[in-house]
Amino acid sequence: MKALLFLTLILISEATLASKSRLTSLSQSPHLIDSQSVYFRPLGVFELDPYLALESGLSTPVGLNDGAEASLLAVPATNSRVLVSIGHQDELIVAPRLFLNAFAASSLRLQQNPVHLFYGYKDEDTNYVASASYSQMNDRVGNVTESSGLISAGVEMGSLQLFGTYIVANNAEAAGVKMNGAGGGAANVFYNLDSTTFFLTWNMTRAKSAISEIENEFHVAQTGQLGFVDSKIKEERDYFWGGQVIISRVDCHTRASIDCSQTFTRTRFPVWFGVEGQMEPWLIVRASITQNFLIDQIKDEVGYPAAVVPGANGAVSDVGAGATSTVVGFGAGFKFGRVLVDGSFKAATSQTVNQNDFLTQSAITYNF
Amino acid sequence: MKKLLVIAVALASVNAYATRARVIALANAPHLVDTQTVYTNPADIFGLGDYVTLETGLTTGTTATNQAEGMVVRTMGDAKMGLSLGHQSQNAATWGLRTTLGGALPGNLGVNQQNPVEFTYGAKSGDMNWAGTLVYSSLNDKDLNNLKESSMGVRLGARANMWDASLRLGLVNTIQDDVSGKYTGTLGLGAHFGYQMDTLYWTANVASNGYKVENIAGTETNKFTQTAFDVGVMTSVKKDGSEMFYGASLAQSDLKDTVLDTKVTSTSLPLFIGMEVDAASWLTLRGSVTQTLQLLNNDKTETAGTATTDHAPGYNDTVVAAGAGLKFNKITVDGTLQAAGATGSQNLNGNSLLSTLGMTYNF
Repeated sequence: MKALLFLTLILISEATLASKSRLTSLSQSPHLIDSQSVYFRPLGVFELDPYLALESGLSTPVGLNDGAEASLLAVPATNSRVLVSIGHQDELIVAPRLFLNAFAASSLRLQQNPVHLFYGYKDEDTNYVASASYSQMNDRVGNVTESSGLISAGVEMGSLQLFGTYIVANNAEAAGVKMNGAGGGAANVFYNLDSTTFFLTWNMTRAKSAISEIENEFHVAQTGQLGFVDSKIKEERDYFWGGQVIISRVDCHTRASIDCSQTFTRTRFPVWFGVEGQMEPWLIVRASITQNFLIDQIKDEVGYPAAVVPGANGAVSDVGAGATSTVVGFGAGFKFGRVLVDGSFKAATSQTVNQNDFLTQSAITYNF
Repeated sequence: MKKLLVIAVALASVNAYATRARVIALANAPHLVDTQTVYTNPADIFGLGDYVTLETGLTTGTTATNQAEGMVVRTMGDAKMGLSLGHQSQNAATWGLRTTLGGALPGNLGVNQQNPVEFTYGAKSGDMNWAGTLVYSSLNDKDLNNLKESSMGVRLGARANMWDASLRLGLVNTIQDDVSGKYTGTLGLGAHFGYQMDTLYWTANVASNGYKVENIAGTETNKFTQTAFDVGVMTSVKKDGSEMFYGASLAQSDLKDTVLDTKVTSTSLPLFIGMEVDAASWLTLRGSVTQTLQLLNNDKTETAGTATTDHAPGYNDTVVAAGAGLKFNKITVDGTLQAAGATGSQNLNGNSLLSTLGMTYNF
């Protein structure tokens, strides 16, 4: 069994020094371990070879996935790992800021020049990992500030992985609006049983803002996920399928400076399947599809805009089955020795592969 | 140790017949030696062999990276000589010193060097290589209000096993016409020193320059001075025809215009990580990331004693750059992958494949 698992890991690791585009192309399947999934499965650093990953993007990102970033994984000793990342926008920090910007028309900045640092240590059959991240900016003339701090820790014992994250600080200010999102966090459990990964995750973020010291918005978002992914490696191809129950809840405590006690809840059951395979020595092809299956119940007592809360439609609503949610992901990795160039094919959304719609979210990863 | 260093230099030179695109893709890392670094340290011509390099671009460039230029370098016995056409010196360009803190130079004074020519000569002296470059440009347009432009400068450089140094002097830097007035640059000075200590490469740079602008009545409208220095350290790991490097520097600059009563100061700690890989016999791939560490990323602009900008620390400046070099026997064609960079689009397609294109032929 151990030999099989080890062989599986070798086969996976050839393709896993990948990127944002890989996660997009494979429907963000939780079983994936690569240079991007380490942000929510940091214990995966023990399954990766040392690498330098560069993600193309903007110097001034406006969303979670459009910024330039890079990460470097080093192995200073056989039982330790060090991962340094610069530019990565952490979802736990950024999501509440984007929420307030879209919902309350504020102009809070995302993380500015964020730095993440991970340290992993292997002790016989147990792996440990700890990480911290930091960002800060202060425009004294424009009165625009932001700062953030995250800490996390995890342990892997055999097939079981546990880790948790705590938001130590999440502050931002712009145009007189001050945001404080400290106190949230996440907890994740992963369990591997043969070819199946079971997972249970929970996260909470707080979007709280004030104008002239008077609270104008306060919303607490929580998401829980319980699911599984079955992944089979055959002839250097990974065929996987999975399903999960996602329960989301947003509690409104203050809305436009008025007390609020309404909630938004959503329960859905997305399923997905996909494939990743090395078709040629120089080519890895990835494809997947995901869609809600049977269940997508939405009850919105607040009327959150669609851009703010997935599943919302801007009006108070009670929906038994949500709108169509079929998403196809399609991408490729081009291997040149130790270098992998990844991208998502825009054909996944445009149906066209041509000179204008070839690769998006392009990235380069070097395995050293 | 010497043998290791020779091997390291040899590995570097495999990819060194490269171009502006290479320098951009590798974050302008201080250890690079290639056809572009020759413009900073002329002695780098001894690390490259004989070559012709051509950089695509505009006849009237608007940035440091979109000006057409080219250079040829040939060996003559124990010496080497080079001729460059079109390269714009930072101190004599509208994106460099030929602009003001308040905006572009008035009227027609905002011109770059016109048809600049650079002549380089170098020789070996024991374990040391040295070289010097003479820079010259001029313009006289009698039809455009007698617009005149001229520049002259000297660059000196030396490179030995463990150290390298360069000195750049801007001697003449003037623009004038009968309507807008006169721009006169002061003596420009730039110096660099680098030292290899075990696996670490230490660098120090200092620069000082300035100018004044007078209107047609002889009244000063600008009087500008600039000083900047940085110290840095980096290391690189070479393996199987590839290289990964990383480093940091401490940079500080002061810009002042006493007539506009404007002052700009900045202090920063930029980090960089990069890689260059021989992906195939015909392909070199390059990539880098730079970002300032927020522990030290301050800048301030003051006008008449009032801060107009004050960042401590400043805004996001993460830049990922990537590029490729296509090798066809003695010719290398380089470009940056436009997906990355300061305005990175994340897209790699027919419209965003290779930019800042350059070609080098190795004799």
